[in-house]
Amino acid sequence: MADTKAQLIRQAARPLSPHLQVYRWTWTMAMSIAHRVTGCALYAGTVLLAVWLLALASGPEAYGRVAWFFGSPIGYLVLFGYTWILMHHMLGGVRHLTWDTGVGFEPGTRIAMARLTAILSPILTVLIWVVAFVMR
Amino acid sequence: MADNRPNPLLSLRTARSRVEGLGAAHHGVEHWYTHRLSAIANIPLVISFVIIVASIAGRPWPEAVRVLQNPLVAILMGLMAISITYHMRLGLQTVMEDYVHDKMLKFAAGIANTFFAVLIAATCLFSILKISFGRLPLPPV
Ligand code: HEM
Repeated sequence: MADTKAQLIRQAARPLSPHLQVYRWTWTMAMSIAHRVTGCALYAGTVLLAVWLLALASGPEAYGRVAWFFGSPIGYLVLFGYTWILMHHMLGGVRHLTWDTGVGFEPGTRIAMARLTAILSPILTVLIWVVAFVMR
Repeated sequence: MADNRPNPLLSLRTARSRVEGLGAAHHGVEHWYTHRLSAIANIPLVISFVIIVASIAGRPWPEAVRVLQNPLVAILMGLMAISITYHMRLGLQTVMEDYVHDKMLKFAAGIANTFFAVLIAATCLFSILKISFGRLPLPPV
């Protein structure tokens, strides 16, 4: 008797804690996810940095090959993406660091800060590329 | 990480004093704090990195090498390599703790994370030092 009761309790449809797919999307939620995704992308992308520096240290032939890749359409796409991801994560990081001091949690401020990350990161990215081309 | 649990038979510290402020993982806020510390260091270092790369982009090898041989540039690049690899290792550890629950897999992933971060850091630092001190065959100016 006691056993069946325990079984019934176990089998009852228990409420699960809500997960991503049932939440209404908000700016802070989207930017929180973006911060994690960009952090992981930057993690993988450090391979590019290591390869670039190693080629530079190895000599003109090695550097030529790496520079050729980075100068190709795919290379440009990767580098542009990397710049954007880096700027996004940096701005998101500043937002997190601000929050860590206990500042900026009011509803309006909180959402404005998250929006600012999304708006400023492509602007900074394009600015960096324009400046890089002008300096050439 | 600091194991703050000495042999309880030899220690006169009370059970409470041994755990105070450390939380369940016995690491206290060390992980959180060092992650923020590296995040703060990353900001100026990443900004200078972007400026350095933008000024090198598209230049031939000898010119690129000469830029990186500048002591200020080399120091900033070296500091950045250390700071971001340290930061990314701590960051990915958090991500893995959230998603990897199998004990062995978690253990292996933790080791792989550290190995990867150290490999990237060592490669970057070796290269930066070689560019500065390696007597690379540059054409005369
Ligand atoms: C540019 C300056 C950077 C700043 C200001 C910064 C800041 C931060 C902060 C504050 C966090 C914690 C966010 C939270 O509380 O959930 C974080 C997480 C993380 N960062 Fe960075 N970061 C920077 C650059 C980088 C770089 C270059 C990498 C990789 C090479 C990286 C990889 C990560 C990873 C993997 C995480 C964990 C993500 C998560 O837990 O969701 N960050 N960053």
